[in-house]
Amino acid sequence: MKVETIEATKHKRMTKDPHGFFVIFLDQGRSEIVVEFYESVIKDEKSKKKVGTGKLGLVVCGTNAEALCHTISREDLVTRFDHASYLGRELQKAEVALRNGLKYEQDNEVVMRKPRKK
Amino acid sequence: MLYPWRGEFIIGSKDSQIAIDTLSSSFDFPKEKVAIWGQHKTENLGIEKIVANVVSNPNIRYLILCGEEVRGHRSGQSIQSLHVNGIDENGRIINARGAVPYIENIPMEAITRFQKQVEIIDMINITDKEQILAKIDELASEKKPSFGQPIVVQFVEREKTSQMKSLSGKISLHKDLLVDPYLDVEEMEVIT
Repeated sequence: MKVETIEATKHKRMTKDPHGFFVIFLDQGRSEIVVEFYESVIKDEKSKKKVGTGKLGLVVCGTNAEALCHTISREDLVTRFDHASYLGRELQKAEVALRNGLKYEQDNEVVMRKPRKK
Repeated sequence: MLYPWRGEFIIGSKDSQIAIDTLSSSFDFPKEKVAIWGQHKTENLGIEKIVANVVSNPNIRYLILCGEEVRGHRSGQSIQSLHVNGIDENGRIINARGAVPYIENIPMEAITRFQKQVEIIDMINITDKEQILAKIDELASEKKPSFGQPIVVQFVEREKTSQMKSLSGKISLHKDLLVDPYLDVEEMEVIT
């Protein structure tokens, strides 16, 4: 049996999901991950330059990345595989940060604290 | 409901008349002196969240803008522009210099109220905490009355029965399992 092996490479350009985008943050007061889904809104400037913003469509909250992913998928909020995989990565990072009392900032690495030397 | 639009802000005293937008900087303030504070990155969604939460607490009469301005977004300049100029018919904040200064998610009533309710204190690009604390104390001595009834942007919890959206409420996640929208798993016949 021959199976091809290929090296993983990142996309050179990001393609926006036409459905919309997500803002993810931790609500430390309630110890929850909050995911805001914004439907894409395209504004046409007079210069013909298109700029995008979002209309808040749904807020999903929880503590478990898997449950958040399932809910988002059930709601048909994502139309691209790369967007879905991005969300999975971000939500897992958010869960790790929430569980370990770390700072989470969307699109940034979660900085792990080094264990104190005994 | 106080501060209905959830975010990464810190809540202090609801009786304080001061809110602080620290832009891209991070500060900690005495909770008894400040109503609410936090960072603010974007010139569209971030501003909407600030406006929605400020108008939910009529005790807030001052909004201090401090910390480093957000590069590219110009979030501090944009919220100042909203306060002074409002938005045009396309939802664009008039004279805002950020890349995407559009308001989509809050009603005009909230914008007008924000303009009237709070006085903006421009300390953009000031990162000296002592200077900001001195301003907080100065403003605390200039007491203004509460603005009246709050305006609350409604976030409603959806009823469970309305969550079902597709496939008569059941979704195939695995070849021999069906999962209903509330993650109750049941064994089923194999679906091909």
